[in-house]
Amino acid sequence: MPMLRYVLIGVDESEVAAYKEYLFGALHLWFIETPGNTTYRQLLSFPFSGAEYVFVRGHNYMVSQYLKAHQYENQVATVVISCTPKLILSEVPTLRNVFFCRTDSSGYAPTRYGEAFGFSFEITDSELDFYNNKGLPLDIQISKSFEKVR
Amino acid sequence: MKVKMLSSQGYSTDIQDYGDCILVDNGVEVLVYDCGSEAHAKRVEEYLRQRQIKKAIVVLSHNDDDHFKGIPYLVEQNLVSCVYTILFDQHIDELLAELNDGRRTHEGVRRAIEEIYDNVTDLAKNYDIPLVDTLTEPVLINDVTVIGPTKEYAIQALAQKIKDTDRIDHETVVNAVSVQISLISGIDHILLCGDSSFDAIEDILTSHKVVQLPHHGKPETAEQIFAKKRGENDAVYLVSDNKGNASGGSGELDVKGHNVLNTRNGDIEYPVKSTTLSGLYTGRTLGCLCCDMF
Repeated sequence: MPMLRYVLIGVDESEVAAYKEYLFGALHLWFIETPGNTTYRQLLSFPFSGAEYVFVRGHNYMVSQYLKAHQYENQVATVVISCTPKLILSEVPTLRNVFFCRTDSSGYAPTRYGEAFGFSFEITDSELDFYNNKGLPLDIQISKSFEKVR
Repeated sequence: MKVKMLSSQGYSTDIQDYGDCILVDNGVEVLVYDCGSEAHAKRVEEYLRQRQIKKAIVVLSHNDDDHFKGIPYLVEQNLVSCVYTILFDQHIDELLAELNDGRRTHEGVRRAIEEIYDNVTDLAKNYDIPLVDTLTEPVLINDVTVIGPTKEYAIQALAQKIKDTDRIDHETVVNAVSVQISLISGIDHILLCGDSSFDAIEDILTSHKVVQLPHHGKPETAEQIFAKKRGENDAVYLVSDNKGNASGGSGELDVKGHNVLNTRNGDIEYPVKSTTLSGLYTGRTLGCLCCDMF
């Protein structure tokens, strides 16, 4: 069973429960919040072992700072839910097997009103697709929902 | 173009099933797609009065009571110009060819049709109201057309019923061949499909942004539709489930991840007035103008 590290940057404590519920529905995995720091919150899937997948969600500057500071070496894949892939990737040139959420022609990742879809946070199209591709093997669920950029 | 799917919320709880009733208003004319109860019919009457429209066109998807029962009231109140539905008695030769059974006669098939569609037959007999066959007359009002079922599918299905097999594609035959209509609202295409089978609408789903989940949101069919339209996050699904405590099935439908509007929560209007329930983009993005920091 894989282990997922889901990093939420710039998210209030009140929204964490909404993400946990989203992740349980998408993956049928329980996530537990583990210590992050003042800039990010971290959810780890239980059990805390297995091949690691890292998801990082937030505004691009903070995401790139996080990825620079946390150069995981053994993760199977890194999924970035942010904007402007080129700028973020240029900050972490050694990161491999990277997926990015779908962005618009300007490189931004627009969000939809999550309430319409049963979620209590504003949600990107890739995250919606990830949820609706539930039940597929994780690698396929990721590749069908996000774009591989490296 | 406005679509209003009537909810039975607030109606008397004496009746279990108020059925479907959908108003289509193109600004000039009004079309009533099914009318499953007198309670719905009275609201249609009030709507037409407020719009100062004397008569509406009625489209009957199929003749089950929960789609038909309010139509006689509308006809009696002289609010209906004509009723569109599939008139199989105009296709007896084609049915005979499909049956391919030397024992059956033209008269025998006609009687079978009258029996299956007895309420429609009575409507024609008892009221001076024109009935129009949707298999041959697909144009309804401006920006609204009949889009299905195909004649081939309809004939094949009814022939099967006449032969004594009343199910096709996981639905009763009468449900499966529900008249489907397509509406244009701005740049959006809307599909209303009664209690259609998935097979009857599969090929037209991706060309419609807004889709009525057939048979009151029956989960098996809805899930097939969700799978077919996977990735279309702009899609909006409409459910007419006015079956009171006896849920039409939509109560068991897992709608998370999809934008589903249900009459169990009140009348549905499209275009959707509430921004947060529209499923539209917020105008905000992940990522910010601090790109300039690079």
